[in-house]
Amino acid sequence: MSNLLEIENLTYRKNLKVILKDINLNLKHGKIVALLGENGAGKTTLMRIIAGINKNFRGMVAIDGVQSVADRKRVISFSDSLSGFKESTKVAKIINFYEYLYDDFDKNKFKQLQKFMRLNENLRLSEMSKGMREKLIIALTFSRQAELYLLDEPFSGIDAMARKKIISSIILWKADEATILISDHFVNEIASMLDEVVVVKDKTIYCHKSTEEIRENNQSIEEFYENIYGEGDE
Amino acid sequence: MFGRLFATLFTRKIKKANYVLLVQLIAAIAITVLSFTTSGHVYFGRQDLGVFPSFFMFVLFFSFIAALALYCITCNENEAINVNQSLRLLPISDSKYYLDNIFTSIATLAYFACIEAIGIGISFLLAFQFDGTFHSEVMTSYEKSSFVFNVEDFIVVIQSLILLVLFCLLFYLMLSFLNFSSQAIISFLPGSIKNKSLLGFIRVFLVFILIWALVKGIQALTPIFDAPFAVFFQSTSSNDLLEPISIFICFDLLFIAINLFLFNQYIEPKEKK
Repeated sequence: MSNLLEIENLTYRKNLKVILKDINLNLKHGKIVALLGENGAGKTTLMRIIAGINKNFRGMVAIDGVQSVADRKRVISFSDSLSGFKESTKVAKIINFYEYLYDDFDKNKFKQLQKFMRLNENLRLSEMSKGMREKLIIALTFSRQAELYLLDEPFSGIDAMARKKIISSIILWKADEATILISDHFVNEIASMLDEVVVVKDKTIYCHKSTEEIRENNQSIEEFYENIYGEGDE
Repeated sequence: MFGRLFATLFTRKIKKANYVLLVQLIAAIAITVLSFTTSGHVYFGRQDLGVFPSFFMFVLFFSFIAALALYCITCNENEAINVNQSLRLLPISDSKYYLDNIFTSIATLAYFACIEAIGIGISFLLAFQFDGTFHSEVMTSYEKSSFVFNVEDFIVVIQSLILLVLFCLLFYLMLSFLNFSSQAIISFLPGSIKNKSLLGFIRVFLVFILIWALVKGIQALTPIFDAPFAVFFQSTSSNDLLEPISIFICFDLLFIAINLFLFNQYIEPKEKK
């Protein structure tokens, strides 16, 4: 199977500080991949570079062999924090924005997700709790028929019950060929849906393994991840 | 996508223009009513004006303030949109995004000018229709002026409007240039500078240096742009504005090129969680 995402020798510096160094990463179609790493490891930066909004990096980023930023954005659905909207904006208006500006936005799918997440479209952003807002972000992200979904800590404010429900349903919301790259601290909870794990450590991709490979060594994903960070601490 | 983003940004900006127009209208009505209820008169020079001519005069007066206010608002809006993550994620190239943003501001100014012209026209017609003194004053002035429409005057008016648009565009571009270049320079400063006040001070200092460099650059470049055009425009008086128009076009294009480079290379949307 061909690679969906290809990153070669990517280095990103900001304020004379190396944030990411020599990143090489290939992701295939149809996978669910966890992007793990401690706070400040560069996970969000890497996702923003893939999404085409972080600039001035060295190296190559391509989706299906295409490097152009506009073409990349066309097939990537990034879990935007909705910070570009005023707090007084109603959910209905944000839905209209997505419907009008994204060709691949499926309103019927959004309606299904809206029902699933119990989202009220008459609410304003300021009236929503952190969890509700994150549910809205997830619903908007998965309402696009994208090839690559980038989910940056999507569950941090969602209660445990709803989180479990969403995690178990995510696989149903994407097309078979679509890939999800998800960064999250609830490693144990997302472990069941993962195909691969990518760990960012020391500013680079420390390891990239399939979950099968990890489990063959009688390790859970969480243990595997903890061991990697344990190595550095010793 | 260019057209749809244009429509989205334009809708967003004309909403602000409509607020400004509404405030202007309320201010003009309020000050007219207040003037007549408190002193009973509005003087313009030695002329004692009636209600409708007073209203017309206040609408005209506030139109300049409103235009300036809207221009400042659109300047701020342009820079905010440049770093808006929700919009920057849209599948459009950064260059087209930036041009969309700047051109919607110009379109907003054009929309505002049209509504202003209609508003001023209506208030003039009200005064002309319902105030006998104003009506006769206008008719006398018109007869005295011996106004004759000619094509040359029309061309000068059109050229002046083009010059105004190019000037507004240049100011938007220069503002973006100062913002982008100072932001780009700051991204190369050591990350250890965490103090926001210090960073703000450095940015202001950089902006001053950049303004100084800009003034020097424009002074140096003007004769270069000026010389080739001067040959064509020296002889005829009706072409007086063509030379500055050409120079403004050159500077606009130069700043568009520089800003597109900076925007594509260094300007990232703000990251908020």
